[in-house]
Amino acid sequence: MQRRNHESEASLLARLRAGDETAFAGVVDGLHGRLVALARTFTSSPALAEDIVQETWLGVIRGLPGFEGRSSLRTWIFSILVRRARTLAAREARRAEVPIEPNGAAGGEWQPGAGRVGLWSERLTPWDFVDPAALLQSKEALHVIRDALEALPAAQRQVVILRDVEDVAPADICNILGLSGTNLRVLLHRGRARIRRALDDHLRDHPRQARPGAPRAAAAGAARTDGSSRTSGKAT
Amino acid sequence: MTCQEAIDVMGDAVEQRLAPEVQPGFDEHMDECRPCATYFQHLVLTRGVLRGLPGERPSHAQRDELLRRFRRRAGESSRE
Repeated sequence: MQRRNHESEASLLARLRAGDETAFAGVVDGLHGRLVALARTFTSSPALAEDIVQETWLGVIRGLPGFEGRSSLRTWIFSILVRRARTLAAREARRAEVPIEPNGAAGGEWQPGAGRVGLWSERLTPWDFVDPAALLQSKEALHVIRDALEALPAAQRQVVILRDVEDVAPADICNILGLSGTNLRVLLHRGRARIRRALDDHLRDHPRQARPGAPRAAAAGAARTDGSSRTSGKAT
Repeated sequence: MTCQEAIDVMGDAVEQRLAPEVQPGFDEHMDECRPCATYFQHLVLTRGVLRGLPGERPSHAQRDELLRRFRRRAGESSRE
């Protein structure tokens, strides 16, 4: 699979370098929205975010002949965007190595080395769906997730977009954003925790969107492979 | 492994990147602790939902302009 991906990436690059417009259109269609989302984390101005993305694509067009493929094409494009964003949005740009927000500002769910705060004062209920794609069929759920992502502090949003939405490798994200591995992990966990919270609130209010027929025990085992039961509800 | 230790490594576990020496302790804790197992399930599904999030497409005008620029650059390159 990895070899096939490598080959398809090499073949895509060859087509782009040969001026294949269809290949370029495919890349634009697939990435444009993600680039806009990432650009918006550097500026509060939608117009400036669009400019950043436009500049990024122009940088891609100019840079393609010299791109050596040492990173993946997507990683390279995201790197261009971050550089453009920091230049164009200099006044508003966030510092790369952002200070980690105090726990209260991060949603109060977690801090490194201290576990979950108030562990587990809140009773968690397993979600009754096992296929994320099924949940995304609900426009309402889609809005909840997009809104939750949009509401994240910029640094958390950047890493969640790159790692979870785009599946960029952690080492590449650290390079692109100039983050330490530890900082990346903390920001990621806090971002995911906030989105989890928003989704959990939504599913509590709209239980039917969580596959009403699914047995709870099966849903609880969705993240696991052995499906074994658990008995203790007490934090250790 | 305690709950706090489990939460500390849960980010890696969600990405299936737990260190091999940590994995058995994590699995054992998930077997024993319902709240942690539920929280883990939530995080795995949250990441799954994020990975499936559809992206927005560019406007026709933006797309046409980019393709025009790409075409022009490709034309320049072939003449160089």
